[in-house]
Amino acid sequence: MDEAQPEATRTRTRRTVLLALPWAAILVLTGAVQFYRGAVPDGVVFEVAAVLIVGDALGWLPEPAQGGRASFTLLLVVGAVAVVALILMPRHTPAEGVVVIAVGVLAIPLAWRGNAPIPSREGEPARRAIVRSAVAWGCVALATALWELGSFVLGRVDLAHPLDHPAISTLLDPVVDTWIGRLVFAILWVLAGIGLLTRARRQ
Amino acid sequence: MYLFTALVYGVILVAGVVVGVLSHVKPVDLAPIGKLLDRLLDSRAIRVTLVVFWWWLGWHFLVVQTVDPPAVTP
Repeated sequence: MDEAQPEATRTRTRRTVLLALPWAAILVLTGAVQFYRGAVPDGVVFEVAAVLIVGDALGWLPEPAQGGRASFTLLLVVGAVAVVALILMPRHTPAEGVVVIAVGVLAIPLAWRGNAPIPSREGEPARRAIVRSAVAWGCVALATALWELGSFVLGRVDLAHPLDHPAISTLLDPVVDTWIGRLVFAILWVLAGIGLLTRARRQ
Repeated sequence: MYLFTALVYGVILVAGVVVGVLSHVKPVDLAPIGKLLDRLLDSRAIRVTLVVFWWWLGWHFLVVQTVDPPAVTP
């Protein structure tokens, strides 16, 4: 073995850890907000995810076995079954919870295993376009998170007018509460999940 | 204040739509979200983070009672 190999591995590990840390921080902060608003199970999910991705980046977790990936068609079929189940089950019930948990139990291991990364072939201009896109979408996501958090905190502090500071959930809840709203939400949610799980393969 | 808060959410939504449209009109300057996701999803940390957030949206809107039901007055 050449001597460059351990150095390359160390560099790769450092990069993996540095890349994982900001995302772990986002998960930790989101989990903390969930604990603050009294949603303990939600907080636990985010914190456990943060611990797992840091542990993985540090190489403390075993590498998942490769192969045996779910096909796009299979994901579509499972997604369609999930949408039907989500519509048939009443909202805010343990039965609905079982369906959503089942979707998570299927999806998160698939995301963990992922697809083998394909080496980037794009040139410098394309790389810059991707960085600009990341900054733009990052700003949109950050603005949403800060405004949502600000509204939530103001709603807790301004006890005389708690309804003056609606969260996104408060605004969307009446829509999702209708049959058609729940159908549209369930379809979009499932399609977004399938998109995330299959995206890397489209390169 | 309610309207202002909702309006700012609307402005952020419009900003997102503008970024999405611009990235399709001028992909050389601003990569479409698909290209960005392709690059981001190479990382397990990012992939898992995004999938956890996605899953939580389903949990939050479909399962958990996030908004108190209206009080019933006799």
